[in-house]
Amino acid sequence: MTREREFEQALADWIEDGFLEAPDRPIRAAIAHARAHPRRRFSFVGLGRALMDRIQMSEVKQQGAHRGWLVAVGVTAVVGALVIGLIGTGVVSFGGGPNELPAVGAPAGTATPAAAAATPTPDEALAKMFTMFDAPYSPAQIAALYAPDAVLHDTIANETSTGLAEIQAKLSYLSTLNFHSTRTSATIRQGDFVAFFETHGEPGYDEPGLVVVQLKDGKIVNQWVYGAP
Amino acid sequence: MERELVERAQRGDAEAFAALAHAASDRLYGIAYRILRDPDRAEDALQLALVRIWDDLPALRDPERFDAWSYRLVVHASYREAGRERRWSGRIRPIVSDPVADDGISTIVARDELERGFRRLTPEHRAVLVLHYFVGLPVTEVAETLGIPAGTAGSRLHYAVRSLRAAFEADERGVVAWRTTA
Repeated sequence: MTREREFEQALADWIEDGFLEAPDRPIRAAIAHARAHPRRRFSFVGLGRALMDRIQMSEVKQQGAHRGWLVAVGVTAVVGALVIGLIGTGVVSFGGGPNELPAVGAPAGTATPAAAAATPTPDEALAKMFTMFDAPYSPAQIAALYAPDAVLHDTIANETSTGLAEIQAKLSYLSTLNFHSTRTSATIRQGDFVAFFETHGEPGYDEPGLVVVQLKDGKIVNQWVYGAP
Repeated sequence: MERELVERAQRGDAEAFAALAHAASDRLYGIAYRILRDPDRAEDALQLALVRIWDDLPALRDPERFDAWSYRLVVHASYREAGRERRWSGRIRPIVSDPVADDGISTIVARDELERGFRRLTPEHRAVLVLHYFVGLPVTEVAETLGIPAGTAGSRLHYAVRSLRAAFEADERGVVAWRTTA
């Protein structure tokens, strides 16, 4: 036996060595989860990930390793071009960076300190969106961010969370997955509507996405989340 | 894995999922344990993977690919466990090994060196080794399962094997030296 073969055999034997039978506890727990949760009610993370799984495990095999990402980039570019087209026509305008968002409904920099002190500005609501996933999940924080009758449209999962309770349930689950999001573009706004690109996901599952938010009285009343295919 | 079970579970049949979970768990736990080298953390990774399987199963387009898909989920669950600081270091672990073979001393020492070398690898390198040597997937299928280019899977495997072989051969020299001086 050559030294290479001897090593390969030793390595294979060593890796084979060890536990071969799964303990019951995690199996029982997962089955209990399945019985208690007929189906997950949301998931721009899960279905986004599943979408990438499908791309990577099916299309990639047939059409090349990077096709999935090329499609994602292409769709993102198309969406971006549409938005840029709107900007070119003056229909929408850019806001600033994450910490310098101009107030919705007023030109940049014209929000008065008194008005800002009276009620949370839409900018503050937006800024909270980017920090909420960095902190431990807090129902109170969600309640402060979304209007009671807010609607979260998860277009990736084709699911809609209506009302604060459903949104809290959805975001609570996301927090258990260490979900996070990071804005990757300037904001684009028209009236009460604000749009921006972001990456979102669980650790290791970051995916590009487009978020459109409608704000009213300093709170989110509608939020649409789009993912790259 | 039986296609019918997968399809029933996709439609929300929890009993079909239970059957799938029982059938798949030994292999999934084996993968997680071999990546993490810790039975408790492997248990956690298995549970996370099984929950993900239930949650995301409707999105699996081709039921025939359930096995590869489930491998990917348990590998990512293992990455997540590996990334957690808790219980990562300084833990006393049970040592599980086969009965000592003919050349007892060198076998024990070699296994110990392999263990040490393996623990120095990143989880990503470990996963490639485990999928290739434990599950028996060729490099192309390892790449497909992990969602990485085949070249990346190949280079990870090459690096991991080279590192372990260096540890293995260093051990061999040590045993020879020990025998010479004993």
